[in-house]
Amino acid sequence: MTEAATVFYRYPPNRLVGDYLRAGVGVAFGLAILLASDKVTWVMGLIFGGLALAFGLFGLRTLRQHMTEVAVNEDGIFTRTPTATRTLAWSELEGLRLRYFGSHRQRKSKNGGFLELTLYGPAKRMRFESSISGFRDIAWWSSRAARHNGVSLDPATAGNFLAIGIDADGETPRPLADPDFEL
Amino acid sequence: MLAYTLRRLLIMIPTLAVISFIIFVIIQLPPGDYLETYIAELQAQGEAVDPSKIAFLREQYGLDKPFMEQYAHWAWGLVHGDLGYSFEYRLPVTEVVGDRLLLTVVVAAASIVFTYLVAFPIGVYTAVRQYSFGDYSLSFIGLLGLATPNFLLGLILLHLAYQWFGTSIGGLMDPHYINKPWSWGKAGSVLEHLWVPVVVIGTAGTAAMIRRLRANLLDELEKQYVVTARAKGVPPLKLLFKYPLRLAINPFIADIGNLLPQVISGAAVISVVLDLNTTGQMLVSALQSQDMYLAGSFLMFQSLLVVIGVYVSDVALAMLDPRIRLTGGATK
Repeated sequence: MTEAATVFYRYPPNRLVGDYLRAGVGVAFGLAILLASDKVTWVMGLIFGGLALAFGLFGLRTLRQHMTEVAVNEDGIFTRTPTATRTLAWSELEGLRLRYFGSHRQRKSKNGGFLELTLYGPAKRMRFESSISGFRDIAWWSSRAARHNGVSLDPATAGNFLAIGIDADGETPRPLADPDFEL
Repeated sequence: MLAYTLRRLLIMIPTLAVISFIIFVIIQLPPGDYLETYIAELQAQGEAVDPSKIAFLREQYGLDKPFMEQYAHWAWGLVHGDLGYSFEYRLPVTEVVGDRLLLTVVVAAASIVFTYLVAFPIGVYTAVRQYSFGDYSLSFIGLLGLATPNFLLGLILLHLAYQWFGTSIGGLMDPHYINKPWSWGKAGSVLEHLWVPVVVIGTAGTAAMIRRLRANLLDELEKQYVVTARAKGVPPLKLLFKYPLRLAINPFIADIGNLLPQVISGAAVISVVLDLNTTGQMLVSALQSQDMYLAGSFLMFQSLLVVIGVYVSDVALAMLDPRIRLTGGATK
């Protein structure tokens, strides 16, 4: 890892507040109904217990994002969480997907939603959401590596790269660190 | 994807809470309540009204309680599967509605499946074979379906079903199965009667969907990537299904959420004409008599279907079309 050229990114806590709130409300709603009921039928248990469990897992996932540190440099991309450190050298990049997720209304208003970048390496996968600081920089390094490795991109991925100002088929200048990048 | 699914799921909870409040406000808006309508009916029939009995009923039904308390009681019951008490039938709403909710879902779902099964192949065919004899013929039939009033089509089909297949007129099952427990015979009878309302309700949306799919697919087929793929020798069917069709069905998928309320409100009118045992007729009567918990439960159930429909369409859209469209690029 070339220390001088390495850039570090994180999920800014202010961008995770919404997800923490969602997780908290989801868990609280499911549990409140179950705990305040005199008789819990299996259907209720399934619906509200499942809801609480799903949002509990979502909360843990948000916590993991909160604690994730990402480092990018010429050699590859590195992620560090309290439990694991993972590395994907750019030369090992085998696949790349950039997907957009938004409701029908967000698509129509062309505002809101989020992007998810998935990098595939040998028996490993790394995923980043557009709420991470330096998302465009990570996307730029990934598209560059994909081009060098001859990885073909599906039209949706190529189109999404163009939408954020990165031409996956040609050389585009490296975007400066853009902590305020938002859809 | 999981994150998106959960985020979208959580939006449904406040949405349904707001909808339930709006429904409760609306069904309480008309002046008076069920008991006042009941008193007026008794007086119109010349019967004596016992004020102590009315006061007792008012207390028993909780109509003397503040608005918010009534709402909280109803909403808490809803999340527990308790739909409240029907004043008119003097029974719990769950007992009054019986199979109606299930039958409404069956008719609505079958109508949507019918619409999609008919519109999808015709839309694709008419786009791929633009201006052919088949294009004109199928478009004509689709437009005919759009132009024919539902009640008229319903009456014609009822007559034909009776004449050709001996199916009993009206209803969703043979009369002797009504209020009987479910059996294979009853399910078979429902299937035998189902096609008439499904065709009647389904045809209304089919033509519009054919036109939209045709227009979208034509737009996609004229794009450069399709021309390039053709030039490179990609097999026509593979080319069609891999990209243009996937992108052209966008409004098809997005319409799931819009289609459900249309189908259900359409079914309400059709249920009167075809004498269907769905929620339509009972909802109208419950609204007229201010049977608020019965009417509220139906409206809440229909709203739930719509919210689920929108959720399904959003998730399906995210899977099928993961492209972003930004007006001025991402903000920096």
